[in-house]
Amino acid sequence: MDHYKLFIDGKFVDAKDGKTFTTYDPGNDQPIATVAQAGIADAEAAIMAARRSFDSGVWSRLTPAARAQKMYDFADQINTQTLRLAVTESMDAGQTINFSKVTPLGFGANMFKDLSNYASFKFPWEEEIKAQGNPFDYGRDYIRREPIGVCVGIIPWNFPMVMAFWKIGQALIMGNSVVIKPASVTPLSALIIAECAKTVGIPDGVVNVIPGPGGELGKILCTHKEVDKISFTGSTEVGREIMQMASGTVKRVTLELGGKSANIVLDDADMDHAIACSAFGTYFHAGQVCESGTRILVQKKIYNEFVDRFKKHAEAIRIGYQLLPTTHMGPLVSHQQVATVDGYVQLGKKEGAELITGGKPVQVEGIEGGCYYAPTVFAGVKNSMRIAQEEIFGPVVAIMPFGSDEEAVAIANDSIFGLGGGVLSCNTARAERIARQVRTGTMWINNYHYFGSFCPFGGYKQSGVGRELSNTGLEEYTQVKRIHIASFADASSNYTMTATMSDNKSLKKYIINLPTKINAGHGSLASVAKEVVDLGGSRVLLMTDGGIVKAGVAKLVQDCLSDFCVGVFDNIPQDTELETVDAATEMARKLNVDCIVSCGGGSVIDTAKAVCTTLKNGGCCNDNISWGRLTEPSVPHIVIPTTAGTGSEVTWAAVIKNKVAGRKSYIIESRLTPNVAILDPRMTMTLPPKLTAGTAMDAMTHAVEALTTITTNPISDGQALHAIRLIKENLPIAVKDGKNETARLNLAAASTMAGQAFTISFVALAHAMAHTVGMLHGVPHGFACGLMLPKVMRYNVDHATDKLALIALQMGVNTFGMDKREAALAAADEIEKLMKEVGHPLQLREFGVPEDGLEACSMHAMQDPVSLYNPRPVAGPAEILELFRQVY
Amino acid sequence: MIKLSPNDCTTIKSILSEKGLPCSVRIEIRSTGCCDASLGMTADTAEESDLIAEMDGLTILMGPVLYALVGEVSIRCVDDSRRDEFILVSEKPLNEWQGFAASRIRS
Repeated sequence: MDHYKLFIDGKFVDAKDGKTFTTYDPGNDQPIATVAQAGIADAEAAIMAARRSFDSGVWSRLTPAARAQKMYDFADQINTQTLRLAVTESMDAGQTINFSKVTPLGFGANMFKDLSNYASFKFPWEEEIKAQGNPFDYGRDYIRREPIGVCVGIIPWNFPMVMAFWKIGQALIMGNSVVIKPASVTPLSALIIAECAKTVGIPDGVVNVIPGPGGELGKILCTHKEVDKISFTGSTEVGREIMQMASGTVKRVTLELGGKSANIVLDDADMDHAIACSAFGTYFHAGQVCESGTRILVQKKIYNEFVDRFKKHAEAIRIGYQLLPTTHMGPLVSHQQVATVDGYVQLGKKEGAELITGGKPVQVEGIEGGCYYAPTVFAGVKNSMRIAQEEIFGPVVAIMPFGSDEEAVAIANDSIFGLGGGVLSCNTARAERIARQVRTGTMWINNYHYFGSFCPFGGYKQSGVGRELSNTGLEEYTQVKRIHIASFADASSNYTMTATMSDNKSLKKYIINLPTKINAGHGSLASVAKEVVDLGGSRVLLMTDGGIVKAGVAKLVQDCLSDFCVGVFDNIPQDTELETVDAATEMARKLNVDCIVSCGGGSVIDTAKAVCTTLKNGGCCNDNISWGRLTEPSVPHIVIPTTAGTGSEVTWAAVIKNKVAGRKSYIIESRLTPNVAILDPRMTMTLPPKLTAGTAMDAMTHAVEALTTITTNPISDGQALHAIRLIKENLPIAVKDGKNETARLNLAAASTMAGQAFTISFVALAHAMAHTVGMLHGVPHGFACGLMLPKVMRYNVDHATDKLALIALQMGVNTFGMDKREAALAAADEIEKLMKEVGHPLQLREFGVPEDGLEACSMHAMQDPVSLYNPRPVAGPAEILELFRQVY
Repeated sequence: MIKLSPNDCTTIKSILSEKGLPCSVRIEIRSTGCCDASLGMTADTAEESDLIAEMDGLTILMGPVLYALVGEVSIRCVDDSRRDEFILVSEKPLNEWQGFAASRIRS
């Protein structure tokens, strides 16, 4: 009789204490071989061999491609052992030869090659994170997937060869070392696979196989500190204990446990197929399969016919010795299993189920001994019965009727298990609807027991944790490491560090990203068509508002666009909303638009920006409220501003009102910046004086805040300062004479420059307050900014003294004899003077804001993210309330 | 037929009492998932053919077929932190995982 030894550290050895055991053929109770029985010392040796081999890198640090080549050799070697493996498996585990002969190729060699190839060419070992989702600091982030380490694979007796392939193959393909503990009643195939590993030169210690009693080895395998992962297939009770033991050292655990899967036969099923398929689902390998369909749910209309025909089919199943090719169903694995199955059959009778056929051990003619059991059918079963709830693990099925499809789903889900299941129907859509509702890891439609290298397998609920096979299963054998490389290796450029652990809140870094092409001057509107062509567009949606249409300005743009313009969306309110964006996006999708031209003020431009990103990325506007998430350019966007202004024609932000949240949402994306801005002074000439003043104060606020935020820098400072001067000099002229093109163009330039400045340096508290009163009380944004600006400047006087003093100079204040603080305060005074001169409102109450609403406004303003950039840290909403009161 | 310490006997009785069940449990085979059946206890009343053990007011039942298969059964509580979980070990082991995992009394 053959003797099999343990495989540890590349060698076949006897157990340290010399113990052995005998394995038997369940088909005839004859001994097959003796096997060394591993004890704790052998387990220790195997684990340490795996640890040494892993840490040495002899396997773990090979490239996936190099490992794949070795795995292909391993697979080829398995193929040479096909016959030996098949016969041994049949004799050891009772599998019919018709199945075991395809296992080495189909589930072994083929799986090794499939998954090795995948790991070599397609598995994402490293992945760049293009959009990190952290808007405050910059860096490169990528993830690496690395082998886990020492993996323990504990294998059951029903499919010992397949399970050994799964656990050895997946662990090795992903660079791990493995210790396999096969079931004591079926140890041989794992040891033959180990021989194959040695033959092809898998390095010593990478594969170890130690058959031995689970009760003795289980604890050391699950608690040893050098074990990193446990993959267990077996009973729920043992799996639960393993999970508990593994938790002591926080090991990764994958469990594949029991099942009580429901095979649902619908009234439109092909009856011949339904009978054969559900019988296969139940009786394959004598029902000793964790995902077997051991509950058959049959729609009432066909129930009686089904039971009758199923009985005949079950009785025709040929039970025999497993090595005979004529055998349909071989023995159970042991006499203990026969006793277990029979115990449940007796229980089923006691519970009141109707035994239709079978229900007893069987003696096969010509064979003395053996562990055979008749295919058994119970009908009239209630799902609450133990034979419907507990896994019997033998050739026993419970057939139950159901009425509606919903009832079938409810019965199927009424189980602590969720491993497999099936639907039999001629209507695929109907079957899929049901399949989606059953809470289980695999659903087969018109098939059963179908597996594949790329098909994940595992359970819901108490059927287990994790998955085997496919990319999902392979990932279970890796760890994820993220590596971050800071773009600015400087604490004073790190927002989080300075905000939380530094008294100096200024950020030293700045990033200049101003990709907008600017065509400026009288008649520049005519360039729009050429810009569309240069951007690759041909179907333009013109976005504007009713006022622009009424003023005849929109028509000018349409005429310049000529045939490129396929539609006009002009229903944009003063403060745009999510719903407005969605409506415009819907129009753009219907018209198959590939370029957006926006003509209007800030609300129109922001709407257009949001449409561009929603059109590009799908979904609705709310899906695309993001900050630093986009990794690809948006739909091309050309802006023709009719105010001066928001600066939105060059910024990467869009502000959208969210009525449900009661606040404004921001899209802040560098890829949102419009491609082209056309500053044609004729476009702003129809703006009335009051609006001219309001929009110019918006631009002024951008410039002043960009100059004073914690992210101020020399480049944006220059733009901001000149913008302030241009507004100071040209606003009174434009208010007095709206048709002065020079003044209009200068204001447009100032707005654009201020927009660029705050794109680099951001805005701050004045905007937080303006956003709030705009959202809650409908105060137009430009006016709101102007109202808050001088108050906030005074609030910040001791935290931005130098810059505020520079503003005073730009505003033409004679600062001779003033100290810097006085000059800074003078800047705020000069702003107010300008506002009075041009007729800008000076009090919040003029807009109907209720005084008792100011407290809520201050809470909201505190939560506006731009307030984080204020030079003076805002201590609390009380300070903001005071400012609101000052301007009220 | 049964090995059970007085302390563990008291624990079993207390668990049955908390659930409002009579002081009687059956030793049975359970299949609790893929591959390995195990021994467990269920609150139950005696049948005609049962083998019966009495201990300090607790009745323990076992079917004759099961007794012939597994022999004498030892029952012990896991520990104080898992007082409602028991490990059952038989003279003739049902499988290699005997003694490893614990189970609760089924009601």
